[in-house]
Amino acid sequence: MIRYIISRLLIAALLLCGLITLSFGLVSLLPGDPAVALLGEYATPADIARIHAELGLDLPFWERYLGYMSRTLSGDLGHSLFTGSSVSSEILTRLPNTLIYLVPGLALALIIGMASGTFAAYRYRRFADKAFTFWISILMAMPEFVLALLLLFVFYQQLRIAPAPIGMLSSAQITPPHVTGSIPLDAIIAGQWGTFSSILGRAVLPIVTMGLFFAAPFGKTVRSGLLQVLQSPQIEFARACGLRPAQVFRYALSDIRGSLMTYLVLLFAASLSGAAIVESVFSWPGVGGWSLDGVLKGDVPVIQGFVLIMGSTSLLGYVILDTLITLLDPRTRSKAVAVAGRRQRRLGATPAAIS
Amino acid sequence: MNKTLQVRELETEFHTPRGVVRALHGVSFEVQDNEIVGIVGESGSGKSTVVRSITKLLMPPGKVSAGNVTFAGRSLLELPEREMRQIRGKDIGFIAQNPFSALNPVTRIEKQFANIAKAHGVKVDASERSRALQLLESTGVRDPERVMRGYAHELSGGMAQRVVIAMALYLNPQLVIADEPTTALDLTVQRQVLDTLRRLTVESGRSMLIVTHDLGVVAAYCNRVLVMYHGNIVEQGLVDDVFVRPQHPYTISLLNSVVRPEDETPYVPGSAEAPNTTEPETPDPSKVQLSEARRS
Repeated sequence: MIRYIISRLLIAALLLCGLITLSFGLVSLLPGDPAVALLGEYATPADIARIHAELGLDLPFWERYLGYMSRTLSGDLGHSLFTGSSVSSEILTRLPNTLIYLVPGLALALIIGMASGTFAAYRYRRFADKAFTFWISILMAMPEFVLALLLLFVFYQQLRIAPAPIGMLSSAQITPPHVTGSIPLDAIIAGQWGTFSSILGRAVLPIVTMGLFFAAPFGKTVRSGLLQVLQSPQIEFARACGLRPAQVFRYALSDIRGSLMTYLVLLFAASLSGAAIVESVFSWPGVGGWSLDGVLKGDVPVIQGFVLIMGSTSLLGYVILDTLITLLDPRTRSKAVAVAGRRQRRLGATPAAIS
Repeated sequence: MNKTLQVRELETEFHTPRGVVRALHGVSFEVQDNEIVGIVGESGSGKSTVVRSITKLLMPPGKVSAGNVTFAGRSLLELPEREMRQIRGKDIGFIAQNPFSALNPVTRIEKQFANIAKAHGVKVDASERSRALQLLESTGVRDPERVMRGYAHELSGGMAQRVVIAMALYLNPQLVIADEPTTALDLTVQRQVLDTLRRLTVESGRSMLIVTHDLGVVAAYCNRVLVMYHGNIVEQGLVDDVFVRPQHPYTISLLNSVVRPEDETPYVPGSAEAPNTTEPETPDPSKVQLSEARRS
């Protein structure tokens, strides 16, 4: 089993190298010369040559590629062309800010989607199901920034129970002493629970936005998956054995849990890129808004850094997913274990058991 | 003889977007204590709809629209789902067609037995477990202990079907309903499984209703037979009577369809496909004739 996980990790490492290559290729794919982008239209050839030398663009292709590869693998993602700040440290500072609302948001989406999808499937074609389908189609048709603005309108402007969308900290709060660079983490380390809970309070609306936005497609998947499984011979037999409805639903859910988990990881990857819009609405200092800024300016190292961080996070997600799915299902588990070298004696495989 | 199951004028409809399709046109029959009743008929004749209507396992858009089902003195069609659930698995056992699609693939067999017991308020303890083990053994499962601890995919088809049978019989039902229990199995295994079924049902004081399209199975195992055609029972009676002196043309044609060499088979006009309301020319079962042209 451990060998199986290691083999997954090796494949992921290979894919990571591919990802770095891809992100390197971005520089040549992007239109325009970074030096021109940096210096403006009226740069002299001498200036351009100087910047080229600074950025290493005058070196031969292979040297640049290998240099980029080794720098990236050692954790150095270069510096922003415009602000000059280190991309790796920017990501390290900003990624926790994004995750602090993204992960709870997805968890919320999981809970809402699972509960409502299951309930709708259970009340198929009755009122609750029709209401669910109606709301899902409205949510699905709504871009996330509209949802975010609607929530702001209701909870900030009308009800006045949500804080203003001006970022993670208000000016009244003291910034915690610099330890890791990430404000939420520093607040925990410094024991400033007031600051930390204020951050969480400000994260509520982004969390709800993400939760509702992703609950819609997830709930829809749960419902349609369940409806399909509920017609299957397996569920019919479970019902014919007189199992309780809750148990029947557990059987059905265990049948589709692989596809649900896959969908959740897909949503996670999608939510990372969708974070940019939500962060713009809430002026949230996460990776999304920062990378959007980089894309608009043509800040190549920032774009590369974002592509890498998104890609490797998704890769990690898929490795975990793949391993979990394989190990959760006894049919693939025994195979994976057998592949990993341990021979599993199967009942059906012994000649005596045939008949 | 007492009647275990009595079905009167059962009518079932499927409400499709294109209109109401009538699948059963007033089916009446009974199953007595200690007997095996076979339902035969071609695909789409309503055999499976009958057993699903009786057990109320029919999924929407299917709906029982009229009739009466009496089982052990209770009128099943009037029972709320909560009480019906307690009858399923406990008083009426159900054996599915394909064991691999019926058993839960990700739950241990042991746990599946325990879930059935729990669902009927039976305390799951060591004696219950050993009862399941004995039952598995009596269905002919080799090494029941190992099977109990394993998963469905580790079994061969015959073994898996024996596990399904053991689950259906676990709580001692009076009536066992088997929907084509051997269709998914190898020919050699079919007989063993049917022998096991007969031993564990009628010979243990139970009754069985078995759906099949295999006339050989009916001839060898059933006491009585119902011949279904287009949602009607066109003929029913003791197997010996029906098979030796068939009255209805469809039964004659069905019996003739058993493949014999050098025979050109006669057939009955009309097809079982897509019965619907817009097509009134569904043949009236009482007027069905063998096609003259191909009668041999």
